[in-house]
This record gives sequence, structure tokens and C-alpha cells, in this order.
Amino acid sequence: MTDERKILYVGDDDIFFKDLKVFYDKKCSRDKVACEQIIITDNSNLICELSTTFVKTRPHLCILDFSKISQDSKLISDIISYLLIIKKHHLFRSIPLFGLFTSLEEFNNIKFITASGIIVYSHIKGENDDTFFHDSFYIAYEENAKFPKYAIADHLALNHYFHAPSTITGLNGDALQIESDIEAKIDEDIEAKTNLFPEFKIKKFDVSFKEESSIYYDYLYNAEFRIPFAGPWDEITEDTMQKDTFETWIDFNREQLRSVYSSVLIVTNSLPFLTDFSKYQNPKISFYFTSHLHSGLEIIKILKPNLVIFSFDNLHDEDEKFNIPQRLPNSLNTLTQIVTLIRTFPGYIPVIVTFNNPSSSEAIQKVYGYNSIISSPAEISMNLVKQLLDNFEKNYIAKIEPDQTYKFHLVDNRRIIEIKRNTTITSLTEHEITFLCDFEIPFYTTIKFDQPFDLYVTVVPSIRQIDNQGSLKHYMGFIHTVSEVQLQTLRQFVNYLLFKRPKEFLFDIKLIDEELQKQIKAAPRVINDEPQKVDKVSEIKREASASHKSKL
Amino acid sequence: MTTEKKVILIVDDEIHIVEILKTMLTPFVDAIFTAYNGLEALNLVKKHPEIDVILSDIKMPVMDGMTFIKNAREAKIDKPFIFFTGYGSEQYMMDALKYGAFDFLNKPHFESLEEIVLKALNHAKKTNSSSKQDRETITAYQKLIKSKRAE
Repeated sequence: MTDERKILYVGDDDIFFKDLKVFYDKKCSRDKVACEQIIITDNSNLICELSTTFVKTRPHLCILDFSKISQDSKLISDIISYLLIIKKHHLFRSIPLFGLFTSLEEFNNIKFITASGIIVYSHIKGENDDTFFHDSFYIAYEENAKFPKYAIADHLALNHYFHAPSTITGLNGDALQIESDIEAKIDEDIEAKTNLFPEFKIKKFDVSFKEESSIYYDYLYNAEFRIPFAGPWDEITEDTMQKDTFETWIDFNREQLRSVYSSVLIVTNSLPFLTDFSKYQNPKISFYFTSHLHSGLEIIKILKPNLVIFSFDNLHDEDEKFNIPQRLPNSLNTLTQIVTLIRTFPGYIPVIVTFNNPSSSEAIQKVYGYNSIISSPAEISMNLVKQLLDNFEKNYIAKIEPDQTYKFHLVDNRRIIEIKRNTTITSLTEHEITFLCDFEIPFYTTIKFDQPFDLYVTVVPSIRQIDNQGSLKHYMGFIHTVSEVQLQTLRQFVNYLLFKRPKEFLFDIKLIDEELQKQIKAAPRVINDEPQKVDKVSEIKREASASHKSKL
Repeated sequence: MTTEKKVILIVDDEIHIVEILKTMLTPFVDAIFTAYNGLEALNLVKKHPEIDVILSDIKMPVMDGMTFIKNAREAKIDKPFIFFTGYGSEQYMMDALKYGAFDFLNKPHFESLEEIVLKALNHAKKTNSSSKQDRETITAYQKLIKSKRAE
């Protein structure tokens, strides 16, 4: 695939970094390996350094070690905000980001990180670092998968469910706006666990809207979940609630929630601009940055930005060659589509500023019959955009009332929503799980099973042959975010499933202990807690994710 | 910018249009070149770098206005182009934007001719440093925001 491996480690753990280098030097002995480290603590230049490194090096994978900064919400927020911006640039979209934590407690305290959609796999640092190195290598390169063969409980057909950690991007008195990697269908009754406040026990929502794009976080879909409040005469049960209660909660929490005043859409491929823009912050403006728009222009339909900054890369479509058919070139034809769409919304007249545009504002206004468009022949620059934004804030935002939709801050765990989906589990090892679904799961989506504990899984192209069953799709996921203690439990659970062949995917420690004792007595063979590391599975050619929907 | 004199080029295959425009613009400019198709015009702008602004029809024999501007831009001639438009010119106008059109004039109604030509001359005479371009963008933007607020 490549003759140079570029790995970026952002963290202070020199021992971990050394182990990482040793792994890559050994694993890729025939290739040039470039492991780079960015120190995270007391680094006032961290975001600049990250930005420069991403633009210059374009690492193949990036490992972010949150263990030394888990208490520093501001720094975590800055890092995640930056990563969310660069992930909207097509050059960095496919770089997998991995999160490191020192303990499960730490991971749970800052779970909002994983509910940003940018971290494909989290790892609790410790004795299983080698598994992490192998898994992250496979996720980054999709090649040379030489995994140990673990004890496997297979040929299972256990009906169960999982949850897809997702995020609430906005809320109002009627609905939650969410982003997720698993598609919801309009009018579908969907079950989800929320974390809003103890009295909010509603678990079932109506999907009233969905689009294939994300706006604020790094997910593949956004949707609106309408809240089915109890009517004034309805009996309030454990799962229902009246609208008044929810609105009162919003009122009480208004100060902790962000009001959305105005939004600005910035479309440019420019890397120097990206580097500068990633350092810019303005809490009053909701920014949406992207290197390219996608066909359908959902982002404009949903966001209705008040200001659109559009930088031409090439005015001639025919010169643009994209691998992703839905991605639109930053060309005149795309601008035409934008203006055409805008004109379909009565009363919606955003200002459009175009850069790298050789024609004058007058000419472009006449061609489009749209007076709120101006052009600049200059290359897009943060200096100029900042002036536009300052002016926009002073003269425009200051005069408008905020939207009645509220947003959580990035570092607020209350924005996490977990969407429930049914599945049939077909096999389990201490490293991977396979399962059947009647819907599509994009590769590198993180999901969570509830047995034998909160079992986080990243869906990957399978490392062994698994076949779809009729209309049911067969998926494999790597298990991660497992502590040492949990690993012992997981091994017990695998052995229980292997020997007991239960009808339910359920972990009951008492039952498992009894059953295992019986099995151990009856069977001549000894079941070790340690996995049976035997033959390597044969190498696979990594082509699966090319023909399947994928996050990366 | 080659000279402080104001020099324009008028390109149209309809001789009477060229004559009308010449008459209308003579009081405001120092010299007027004329051509009757794009090829003739292209040779003129290559030969006379003192031409500041080009007024051109779109549909012409031998070489049309779009091919003219395309060839001019390829020859690194970045003078402002003002195109004459009429019924059915929409696609041509869109194409003209790709090569950098300064403005469009609805033929044969030339009410804003003087204003547009003077603006184009002013633009051509300016040294287009990037800071100047930025200032112009900000000014245009402020004007637009102000008008939106007034709405």
C-alpha cells in the first residue's frame, strides 16, 4: 500500500511512544517508518503544532493520549474542535484517530470525546497495548492482519441489541437534533437512551427528519427525533413526560446551553486557510467548515447559514476529478446550485462572499440575479475572513434574536444519546465479535453492547470469512476500551458461551461460575483464562472498505 | 496599467452598434479601437497593451466573444471585459464568469454604459495589490450588510 508509514502520537507517555515505535519498526521492517510525537502538556502551541503537522505530514493514523489532560476540559475542547474542523477537509477525512485513556473511570468522565464521532477506537493503556497496536495498524492500513487466534464461541445465534453512541446537536421544546453513524428512517419509532436529566425517561422517539451528512460532529447522518410528550389528560407513566416539564428544564439550564445566533458556512480547499481558521474561535457564531459541499447541498438546507464564504478552487468543473461522486467541486456550477437552492426558500437571503473569483461582484450579481453576492479575486485568507466575521458579528448578529434551538457545549456529557438497534450475535472472542443486522453499519462505526459489561466495539472489515445470511448483513467488530479486570470477565464470558451454549447473550456471574465449574469438572481439558494464541490467520487483501460505506 | 490615457476597445459585428457606442463614449475616453469579430480584437489587444477596457459582443462570426476572452486570458491579458448581452445569453454569461467578466450590458439598451465603462477604467488603472483587493472586498461587504440591515 505504501512504502512509508507515518504515525502521529499526541501525548507525553515516552514509554508508550517507544513501544509504538518498536511495534512499527518490527511490523513494517521493509518500509520507512516515521513516528512523530507532539507533547501535549504545557504546550501552549499545541493546536498550531497539531495543525502544522497534519498539513505537512498527513499522518496515516493519529493517537491522542488524553491521560494527562483528562481534567482540562478547555484543552480537550480545543483539541476536539480542531480535529472536527480538519476532519471536514477531504485530505484528512480518512485519517483514523485513536484515543488513549489511563482508566475506565477516566474514559467515562470524558465520554463526550467518543460521542464526537472522531475517535474510531479507544484504548485503556496497560498490558494490552500490543492488541491496540495491531488493531490500530489494521484500521489505518487495512492490510497484513496477523492477529492471534483467540478462543472463540462461534455458531451462536443470540438475539440481542447494541447501542450506537451518538450526539445531540441541538434541542428545542419539541425535538432533539442528533448526529449518528447509523441511518435512522423517517417515521421510524426509534429507541434511545439519553443522559439529559433524571426525570427525562422517554426512550422512544419519532424520526421526523434525516439527512446523509453531519453538521457539527464527525458522523455520517443527522436526524431529528421528535419527543412524544404525554398529552394533558394522559397518565404519566415511567417512560413518559409532559412537555411543560421539559421546557422548564430548558429554561433552568439556559445558561449552560449555547444559544445559536447565526451560522456561517465556509467552503474552501485551502490548507493555509485551514491552518489559520482552526485557531479562530467565536462562540456567537456557529461555524460549518468543509473543503467541499456534497450533492443535494443538505448542509445549506439544514443550516440555512446567514453568511456563505465560498472559495473557488477551479472555475471549470471539467478539470475536477473526484473519487467520491457526491462531492462537488468548488466551481461555478456548484455556486449556481447554491444560489438556485437559496432562492427556493422565501425570505432567506444570505450574503455570499466568493474568493479566487476573477469576475466582478456586479457581473456575478447580474448573472445570478442575486444582489447579496460579492466577489474577491484574492485567495481566501484568515485575515480577510476575520474582518468579514467581525463585521458580521457587529452589524448583523448583534441585531438578531438567538434561535430557539439550544446546543450543548462540546465537553458536556449530557449531549450523549445512545441509539438502540437489534442484532443477532454469531460469535465472540476476547478480541472480536460478529453479528447480523438487517441494516447497514458503516465501517469504523463505534457501537456498544451491554454484555458482559459496556463492551465498546468498532465495526471493521472482517479479518475472517463471514457470510451474509439472506438479507441479514454479517459484521465484525474489534472490542476495545477494556480494562485488565474486564478482560478476565470477557474471557469467562467467552468460555461460558462456548461451553454452555446459552439461549441469551447475558452475563450472570453467578450462573457463569457454576456452569464453568461443572464444565471444568466434566471436561478433561483445562480452560485457561489466557487466550489460546495459536496459528496466525492468513493475511487478507484489504478491499472490503472500498466497496462498503465507511467512515474513513 | 500602461498609460494615464483612457483607451477602450469596442468589438461587435454590427457596424451601427460600434458607431453608436463610439459616439456615446468619445467624451469620456482618450482613444477608441474597434474590431468586428473576436479574432480581430484578439490581435488588437495583443498588439496594443495600452487598451484598458474591452467591450465585446458575445455572438460574432469568425471568433465569438467567449473564445475571444478565453484566448485573451490564456495570453495573460487580464483587462476588464464588458459583454453585451441579450435574450438567450444566460449560458454565455455564465461561461464568461469562468474567465473573469467585469460586467454585462443589455444590448441595445445602453443606459448604464457610461457608469460601467468608467468603473471598468477606474478598475483597470488601479494597481491591484492584494491589500487593495481586500479593502475593496470589505467595502463591498460592508455596503451589502448595511443595505441588508436597512431592509
